[in-house]
Amino acid sequence: MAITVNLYAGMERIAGGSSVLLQHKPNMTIEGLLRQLIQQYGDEMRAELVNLKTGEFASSVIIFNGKAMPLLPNLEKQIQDGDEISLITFCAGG
Amino acid sequence: MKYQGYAGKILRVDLSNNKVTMENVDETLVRQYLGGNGFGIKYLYEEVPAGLNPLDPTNRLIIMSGPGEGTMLPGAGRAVVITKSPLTNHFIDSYFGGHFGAELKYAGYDGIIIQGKADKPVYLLIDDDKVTIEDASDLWGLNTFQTQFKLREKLGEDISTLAIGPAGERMVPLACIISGVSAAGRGGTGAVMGSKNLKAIAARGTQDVAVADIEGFKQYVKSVVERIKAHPGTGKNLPAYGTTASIKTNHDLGILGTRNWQQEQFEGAIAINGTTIKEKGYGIGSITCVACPIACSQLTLVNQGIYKGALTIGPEYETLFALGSTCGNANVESIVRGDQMCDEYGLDTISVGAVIAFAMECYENGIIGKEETGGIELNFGNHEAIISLIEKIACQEGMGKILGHGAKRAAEYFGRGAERFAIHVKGLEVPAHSSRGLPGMAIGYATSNRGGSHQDGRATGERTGQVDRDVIEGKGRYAANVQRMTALCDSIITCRMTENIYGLIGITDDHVQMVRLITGMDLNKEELVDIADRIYTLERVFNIREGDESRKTDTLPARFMEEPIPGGPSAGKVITPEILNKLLDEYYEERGWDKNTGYPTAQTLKRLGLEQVIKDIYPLR
Repeated sequence: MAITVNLYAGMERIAGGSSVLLQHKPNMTIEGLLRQLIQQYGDEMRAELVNLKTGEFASSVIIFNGKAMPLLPNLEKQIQDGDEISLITFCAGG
Repeated sequence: MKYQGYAGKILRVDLSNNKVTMENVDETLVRQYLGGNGFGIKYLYEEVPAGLNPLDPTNRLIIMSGPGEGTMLPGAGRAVVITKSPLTNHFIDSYFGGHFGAELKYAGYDGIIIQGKADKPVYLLIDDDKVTIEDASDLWGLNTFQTQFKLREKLGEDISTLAIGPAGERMVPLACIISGVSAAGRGGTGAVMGSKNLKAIAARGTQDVAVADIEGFKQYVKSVVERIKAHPGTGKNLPAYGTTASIKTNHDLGILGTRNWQQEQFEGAIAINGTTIKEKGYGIGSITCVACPIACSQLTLVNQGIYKGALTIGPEYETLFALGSTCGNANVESIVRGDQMCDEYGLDTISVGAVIAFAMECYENGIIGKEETGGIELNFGNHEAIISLIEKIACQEGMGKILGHGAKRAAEYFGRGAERFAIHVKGLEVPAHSSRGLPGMAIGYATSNRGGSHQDGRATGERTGQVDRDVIEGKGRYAANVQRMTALCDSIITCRMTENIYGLIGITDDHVQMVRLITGMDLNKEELVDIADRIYTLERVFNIREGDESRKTDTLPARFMEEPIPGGPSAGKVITPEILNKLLDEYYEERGWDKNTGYPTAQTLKRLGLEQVIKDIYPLR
């Protein structure tokens, strides 16, 4: 089993696909998953997820097993094996 | 003028009398209205009487910059067109990017007020202090880009221009104004310009724009640029994709208007997403407005198929929705072509797409048939029909004559229950942001002074997780605070692309700082809120004075209140009349408006220094 992570725009380009599988780890959280993505794909992925001036994750929305929710209040949310998470790209303006 | 950031003069152009005069900008006007939309509504309110036909020569076409234009402030590469809309018969302000706003300031003017009607096609030439009304017989009939190219050939490459196309010349209520490649898209500004026989404006200037604290301002701009570059949204996503990659994300969130909002997920989302445009090799570069480090505008060229050669700036997210998902159209090449046609003819892509989607739903439900469509099979997804109808709307041929008046009036014309499919607020077609899935956006639409616009209320806070979209309570107050931010930013004038940097859910210390550094006015947040409220309230009173704006009209299309989103992560979401009423109560309370009528109270009008308009909406007092 694994965790399915759906990616968009720049994150999709960096990972080479719109969906990647990550190995589940015990006590894994959303924040842990984001850090694993950064570790796996490097600074380019970091720039897609983190405000490089503050060092904090940028506010965004995730879809966690079909339910949309704000990212930042859910960073500590536990992830189970088999979960599916979509990391919605931040876009203001328009 | 003791305040900086202003040229200090406004041009008044009387086309009926072939006369140009200059007026000083009053310091009281600056302190009370700041610039942009504020200046615009003050002049419009005083000079356009209630009940006036928007295409009457007496209507004003007002073009304004703000104190930010012509400075280095990131996002201040804009200007605004303000008028009484021929589409809604209400106030409209529509903003455009590029260089014109800055160039106008460099020429020595904060804005232009155009009145009357020329007896033949003309253009306005502003060359520093030399301002003339020129013959435009050779430009009439050309599209927006041909017109601007011809002016550059004639006047020099350093000229900045705006123009109408054939749609504006024909006074189509969906006509827009194009400046460079950017559109003042909404509300029929192009038709008002066409009604005045004004084909174009060209401006060039050589003067400086002074700011109050140049060293402080330079430091501030440097820090803003750093913050823009550091944020994933403005540093990565917008420069790479503009707004185009939001199609797929909003589809996955279940908030992408599809088939005239019958659904909010589109099976063709990937096919029309910005990433696909790039993968197909259609992206050929990006361009930027003056003084902007983001460069969000994507240049797109189709290199294959029946639409090979289609070239446009964009299509933006709004247009991918309007000519794409809401028309059930997954052919991205046709969207590029349709976007190009709308820009060339000078048409608002949002309203054009929305009115075509409306007609498609009418057709599929038997309200109209081939007799009305001129033989076109107007089913959702028929991209050739979309292209054909854009031309018919621009040229006012066949059904285009009806659709060119917008969904509300077209529905009244068709009758037979078509009103249910007309997705508009106060006559302006609703753009690409979900009401049902984003309650803060819903109340923002219902109370927008422009009608169905996403530029008064905003979707961004809920769409980016800064505000929880599942929470209803408090969204009335939230919408008022977002509108305060947008009203203030539209007076300074800054671009929405920088909203996440300067503050997107209310007025912030950044707004305080930029106003102080540029103008020298040391105003705190509460004082800036008062300016924003004064502007927004006067726009509201303008609409009330027209006789039909009230709590009753602060509403949403029936579909958003009666039909829950049918599927996806937003399934079941709906803004029932009960929810809307609750949010309206909250909203009016926050604004100091009467909960029964939706009118600003006399007390609120007095507090904002608007005593003089009380008699206009409370005539019996």
